[in-house]
Amino acid sequence: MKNKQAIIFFLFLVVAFLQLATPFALIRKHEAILKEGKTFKFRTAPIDPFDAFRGRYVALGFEQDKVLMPEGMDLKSDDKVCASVTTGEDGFARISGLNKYPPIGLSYMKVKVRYTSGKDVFLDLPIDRYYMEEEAAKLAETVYRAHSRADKRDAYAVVCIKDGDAAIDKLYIGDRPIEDVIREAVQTSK
Amino acid sequence: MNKKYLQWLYGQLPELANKGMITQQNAEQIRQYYEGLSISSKKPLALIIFGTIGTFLIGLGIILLFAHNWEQLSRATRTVLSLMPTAAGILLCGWVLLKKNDIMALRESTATFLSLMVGASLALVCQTYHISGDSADFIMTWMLLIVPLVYLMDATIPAVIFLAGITSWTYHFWGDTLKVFLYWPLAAIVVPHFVRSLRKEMYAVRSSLFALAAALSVFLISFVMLNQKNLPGSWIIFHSGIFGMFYLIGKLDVDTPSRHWQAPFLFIGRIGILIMAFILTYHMLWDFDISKMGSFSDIGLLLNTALLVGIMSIYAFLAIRSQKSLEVEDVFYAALPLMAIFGCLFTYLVEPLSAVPAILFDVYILAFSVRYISGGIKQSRFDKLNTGILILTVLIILRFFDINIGFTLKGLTFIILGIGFLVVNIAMLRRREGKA
Repeated sequence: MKNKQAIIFFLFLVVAFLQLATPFALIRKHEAILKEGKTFKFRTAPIDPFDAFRGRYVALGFEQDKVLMPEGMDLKSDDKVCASVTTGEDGFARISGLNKYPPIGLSYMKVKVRYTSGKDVFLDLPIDRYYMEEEAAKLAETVYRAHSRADKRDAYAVVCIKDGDAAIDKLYIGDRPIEDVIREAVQTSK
Repeated sequence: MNKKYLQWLYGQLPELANKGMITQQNAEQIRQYYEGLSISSKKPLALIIFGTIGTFLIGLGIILLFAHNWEQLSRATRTVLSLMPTAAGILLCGWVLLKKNDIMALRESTATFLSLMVGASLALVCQTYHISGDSADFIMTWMLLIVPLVYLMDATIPAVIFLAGITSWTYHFWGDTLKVFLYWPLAAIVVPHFVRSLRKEMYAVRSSLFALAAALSVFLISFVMLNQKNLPGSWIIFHSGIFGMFYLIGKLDVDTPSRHWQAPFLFIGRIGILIMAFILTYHMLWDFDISKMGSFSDIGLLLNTALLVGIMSIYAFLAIRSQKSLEVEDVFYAALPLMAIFGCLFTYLVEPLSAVPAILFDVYILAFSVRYISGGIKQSRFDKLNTGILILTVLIILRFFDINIGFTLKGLTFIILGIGFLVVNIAMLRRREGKA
């Protein structure tokens, strides 16, 4: 009986290790991306849904989520591809091409095809949400709308990319972190 | 403790004492022993229930607090805090395993707590690093991390959480038969725990709870499991087979310490059979064509066919096993899958969109209700009588909305039905009072 209990306890320790190691591995991976990855600025167009499991977030849409179908490729919904990322003359990120395999010498993100329409390919980028405190997320949408007029599109996400994986560092509204903008908006409304 | 067996034993004790097999004192001691056992068996039961509810609420509260987002804290602090819930749960479970392994309430509550905290930790990390990725991956990771607790802690609530998790996971793959089919091997992981709890458990709560979760889970995945494009009309056989199977599981004569675990299957089976029967009286639902069936080289079609064969095989096995113990009303319930198969074959082979299967189900429900009404009158049972009248009334209402009949006739029919309902009940009540 004691042997059986010892085996059960040993197996429990193995499971406990896995239960801690899984979130730890996620943390380690994303810390590495943020510290060692190349930084890009992606112009965004946020909306605000609610994910009950994981808290309130600002959903991020990107101007760069639409590209032309590459020659010789026949992409369909849910296909996984590598999107090469470069910085344009305006300092913002561009998706310069799509490949089935990681391109050599270029930064790239692993993305999924949302759908295709004619020669256009619409992509699901892996940087589609920015978690914020609930009330702040609601305000963020209002603040963003004020900054999304055609003459004032100055919202962008700073994203680090390493070996195909991407992590959002911060969301900016007019060169200021969104948290600062929200804080100021709250204080102004009082 | 099974009340039925206890009642039988208490009934036997006076006879055994009268025949001199045991003394009156022995009889009294036996009675007191079992009465004490059944009272004391309620204590740990209460502990399990309240302990589990308590940790469940604490776990949910912690998750909700975390969902509020702690953006005022630095990333490093948030990272450490993200791992703390799981670490706390592990310490608690480890302590219970080492020191209090014999207390079921503690095993259940700490295992439940850890199961919820694993999810909370994963969610916190995703929040801290703005990790996207679909919720299907999140759910599956969470479920796979907690399922070993079912066996290591011998706990049922984590198994229920697991079933709920994999059920919701399948809904992310509606139409993708291969992915959805993974539900079955995943669900099979927790079946040995259920079988073990049936065999050894004096308390019915854990196995009943698992049975309820299993029945609901199978019912819910039935909507995503079949791809109607490659096997038209299969939903009729599948759902009928599932409910028929549940009903027969509920009626199975098994030698387990308690039979309460069968109640959820019986309840869901009964309700499902009646609802399916009513639905199948609409002839537009029999509009499918075998020529539109997919090719057997399609793995999806093969899996769907295997699933139907599997469900119907289990149904047939249960029907044969139960045939001697089923009463006439039980046969009516259990006959639904056979009627569904007949209706589908008729539609496939003879004529699609025919009124014949729908009319067959009208007759089936009519015979059902008449049987209940006559049984209720003979046995002076109001529940049976009124159930039969209710079924008949629903059938008539449904047909009224189908057919073009004037308001006057509809109104008169309802009045007659209502009067008939009252008259029969009053007559039975007087008959019963007369006999008393």
